[in-house]
Amino acid sequence: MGNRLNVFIGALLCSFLLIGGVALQLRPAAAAEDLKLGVLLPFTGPWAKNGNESYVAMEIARDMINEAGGIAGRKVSFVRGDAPDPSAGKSEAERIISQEHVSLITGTYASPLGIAISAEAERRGVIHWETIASADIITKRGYKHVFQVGPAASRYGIAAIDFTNEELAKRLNKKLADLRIALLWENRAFGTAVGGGVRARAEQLGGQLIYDEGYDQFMTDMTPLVQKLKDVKPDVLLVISFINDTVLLHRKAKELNFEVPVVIGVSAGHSVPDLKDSLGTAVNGIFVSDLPALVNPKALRPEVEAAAVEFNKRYESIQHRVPAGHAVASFAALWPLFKEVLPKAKSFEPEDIRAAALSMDLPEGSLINGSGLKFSNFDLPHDPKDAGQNIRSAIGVWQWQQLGARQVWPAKLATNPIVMVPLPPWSQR
Amino acid sequence: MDTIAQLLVSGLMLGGIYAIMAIGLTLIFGVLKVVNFAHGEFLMLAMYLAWALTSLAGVNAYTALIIVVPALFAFGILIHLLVIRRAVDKPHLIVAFATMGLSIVMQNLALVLMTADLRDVPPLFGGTPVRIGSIYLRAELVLGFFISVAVTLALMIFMKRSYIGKAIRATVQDRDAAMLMGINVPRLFLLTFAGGSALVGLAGCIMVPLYSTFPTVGLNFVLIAYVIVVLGGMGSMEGAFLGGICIGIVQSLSGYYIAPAYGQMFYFLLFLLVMLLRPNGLFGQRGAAMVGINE
Amino acid sequence: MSVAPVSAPARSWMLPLSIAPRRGALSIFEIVILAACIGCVLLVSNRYAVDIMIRTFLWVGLALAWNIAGGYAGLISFGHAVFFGIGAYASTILLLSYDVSPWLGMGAGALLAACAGTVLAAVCARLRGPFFILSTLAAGEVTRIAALNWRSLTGGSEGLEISPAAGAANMVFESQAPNLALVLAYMLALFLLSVWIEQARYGYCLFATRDDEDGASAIGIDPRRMRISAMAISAGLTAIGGTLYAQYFLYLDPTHIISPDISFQFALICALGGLGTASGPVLGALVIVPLSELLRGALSGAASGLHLVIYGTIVIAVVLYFPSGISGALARLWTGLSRRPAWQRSERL
Repeated sequence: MGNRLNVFIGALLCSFLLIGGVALQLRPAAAAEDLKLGVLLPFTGPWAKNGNESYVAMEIARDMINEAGGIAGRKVSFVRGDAPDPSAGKSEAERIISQEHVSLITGTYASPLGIAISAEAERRGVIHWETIASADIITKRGYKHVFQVGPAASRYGIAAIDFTNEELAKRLNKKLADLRIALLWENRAFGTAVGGGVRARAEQLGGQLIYDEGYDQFMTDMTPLVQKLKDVKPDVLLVISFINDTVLLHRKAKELNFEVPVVIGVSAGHSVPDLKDSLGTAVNGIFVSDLPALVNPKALRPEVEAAAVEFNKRYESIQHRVPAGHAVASFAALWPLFKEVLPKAKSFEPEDIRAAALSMDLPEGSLINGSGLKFSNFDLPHDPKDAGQNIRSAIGVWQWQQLGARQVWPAKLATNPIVMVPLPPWSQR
Repeated sequence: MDTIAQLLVSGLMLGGIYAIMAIGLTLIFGVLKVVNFAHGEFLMLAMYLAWALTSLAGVNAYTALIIVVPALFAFGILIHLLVIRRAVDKPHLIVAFATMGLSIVMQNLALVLMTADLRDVPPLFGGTPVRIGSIYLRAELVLGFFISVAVTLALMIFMKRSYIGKAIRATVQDRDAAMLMGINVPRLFLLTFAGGSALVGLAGCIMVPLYSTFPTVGLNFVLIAYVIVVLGGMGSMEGAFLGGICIGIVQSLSGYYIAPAYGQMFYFLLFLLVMLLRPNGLFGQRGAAMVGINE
Repeated sequence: MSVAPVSAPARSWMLPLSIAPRRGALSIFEIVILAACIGCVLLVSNRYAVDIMIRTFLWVGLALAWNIAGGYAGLISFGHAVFFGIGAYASTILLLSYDVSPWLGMGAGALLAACAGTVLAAVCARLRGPFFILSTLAAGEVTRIAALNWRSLTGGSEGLEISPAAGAANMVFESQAPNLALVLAYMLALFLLSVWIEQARYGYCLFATRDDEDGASAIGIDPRRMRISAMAISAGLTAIGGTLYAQYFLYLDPTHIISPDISFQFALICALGGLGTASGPVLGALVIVPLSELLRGALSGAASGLHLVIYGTIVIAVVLYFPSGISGALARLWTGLSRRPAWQRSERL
């Protein structure tokens, strides 16, 4: 019996190794003249879902540009690196930069990854094209090779407060200063940074936070949280949470019958299309401060709108769902890189790419999520240490309507009007 | 007043559900004296199975019990034969790592096969909560709690009255003596491990309406399970149940009165406190923790 | 590896952890391995390979540090990431807030970690086996959550970053070579320390405490003091490794530094390499670290998660088939090859 088991285990091991070997061989080999870009994303680990979805979006961008003939006649190919945590990310960045001699790496989705990997890129003189990671510090380190295409985290928070001030206050028949705003933030990098933006902006405009708590993302019981919120009776609930805790939070809110007139989620968990599968129609009416998803076509340049339509079509046919904010942002960040920056660069060396990026002056509406493209270069009056931040990155608020995302703010990007303020009671949602 | 009542009752109910998850572990831990780091992944497997049955066959999670529990029993037998049995007589570090390796394999197989998407089952009874006075509870939570109570009582009776139950208790107390008394200890190991896994299967069915399923879902619960097991005392059914309730209430109260940011810290601190003051847990055998493995 | 076989108690499910005190100095085997390491250092120049070597040698050192508590004293700790984190954070905070060079900060971190280790060992002194393991795990988690929330001290989840421009006086180097030299020195120092412990009276006392506590106290060894001292030393040395890590990676955040994954890695390397020997952790790290890096590097292009499935299976297989670890297996091979009668050959060294 023992021997047979040994053989069985040995066979299992061998088969795994065989699968691994086969997988190794089946990796698509890049042709020598291909333009290789490093892509570092969390393909495994706690951010795996978003990492993989972002990669699908990036592949679509790559395929679309290659079908159009590539860049200066060269096809774009990706070299993947798995970055489930900053240490692995650095190692993979090191590998890709040393072995594959890329001039540009992109990714990385999460702030700790973005911070660590971009530092590595800067040290090696390679361009880091950050798509989504939003920690404010990424562009404030005096680095010359790091470009952050998406907005900084604090802007998500600022947008939420501005939206409340401009649109929600009047719908609730109160002034901003009289609104009871509750802020709930997951206590890791993103939540903390957004919370900082909320606090600062609220103070500037005279809003008051009657509740301001961080929480542990891995809480398995939301009862104390929701009960506390019930007890403070807010008018507006501003919450930054990731996907699993978002589901748990809203379910618990329904269970404990916690009614609040307005819920504003901030990106992350609230912006995932799958939320409708987990929460059903209860998701309708929730606002999300986020990278814009589907914006008003009139806000985009015609060729960008065409790209947006094509991207959405391809994404839905591969993933069978609407792209989430991070997927849209990944495409939105790569597309102008392929169409504007790299073609303008004199060569594919990092310094030339850098020069081309700094020369970008694209108006709003040039990226599929409504953003423009203009990077700071130690020249911001209020922040001279900032370099590489896209000061025209778009941030807005969309609302869950009919189980889908509808952009409602700012006006020029909006596709739908604001509805369901205040939210109906649970029995009607 | 309403607040405290809500917190206590919710904590109690959830604690009962944690308890089911921990009962399987306390059996395994108590009898085999092994730290099974893959316990959370067994739970994940059970949850995925329950979800699959729910979405493919349209049954609800509780009916799916009929298939999930035996399936996990069989899985437990498989893992015991392949992995645990070889490691039981080795230093406990070996088993810890064998199960850790297992945990990594299972998590990532789930990632490869099922992707990282969250899987949910539709709510029972339209999702309207049960209401007792000013306290609101989800139907699935209450149902899960009562199933937990029933199973714990059944197990307690089983442990006291049946031959196998007595054999298990004997082995927990002193493995050598049990062998000398004619108990087939290796067979008992197999049965206990498989039985513990089956209980995890039950836990998975109860939990799948309450929590979304994804490859790393087990990680959130496995440490809670260990805290409960230690708190309640290895091998004790009532200990696991009461330990679970204790943890549920501590979580609920500390989240409200102290800070939700510190989430898990409180029950780890509780764990360390128990280790300091009463290492055998509430109902465990005296001296168990000092000796570790019965020598 | 010339050691005498140890007689074991008759119980099948509780083999004592391997090794007896050693006789003589380094064996040929160990010298060969160390020479190979030094050879790699001198010959390899590919940046990626050097990066892997730095990580590998650092882990050799860290595993050897863990081994003092885990292998020699029998204190299987799954919370060593705490000491690692204390070392990394202490030197970094001193550098960023008080301009203290990490060369000095390293010492501060080691002292702090040694205190923490003393506390941990004192608190958990009575616990054995799985209870001790779980307690250290719990202590690790408590520390992680505390570090995450104590934002004013640790920067919370945004982490702390050391500027690459800090300069050699602050242990930040332009090229990889000085880092490589540092971790190599760390590794060699710890290896020699381990070898020394194995031959010194202190080591004999540790082994006695580990193998038979009652017997040890009967001949006048204080097990509690032995355990606490072993943990303190182990903690301090781990913290030094933490500083070296911080100075190479230049970015710290609590979730990834004080994580159970790191704690497991310490113990895993020693378990796979061979617990309780000086060469076990060396072999373990030399095999596991490059293996996991290369697996990930090679297979992250394929299905997500595949490399971990393979890694996990390898871990299970090695742990089950070579419970004395790689060094144990090699020793068995050695004694098997030598001309000894069967009754004299033993399962372990």
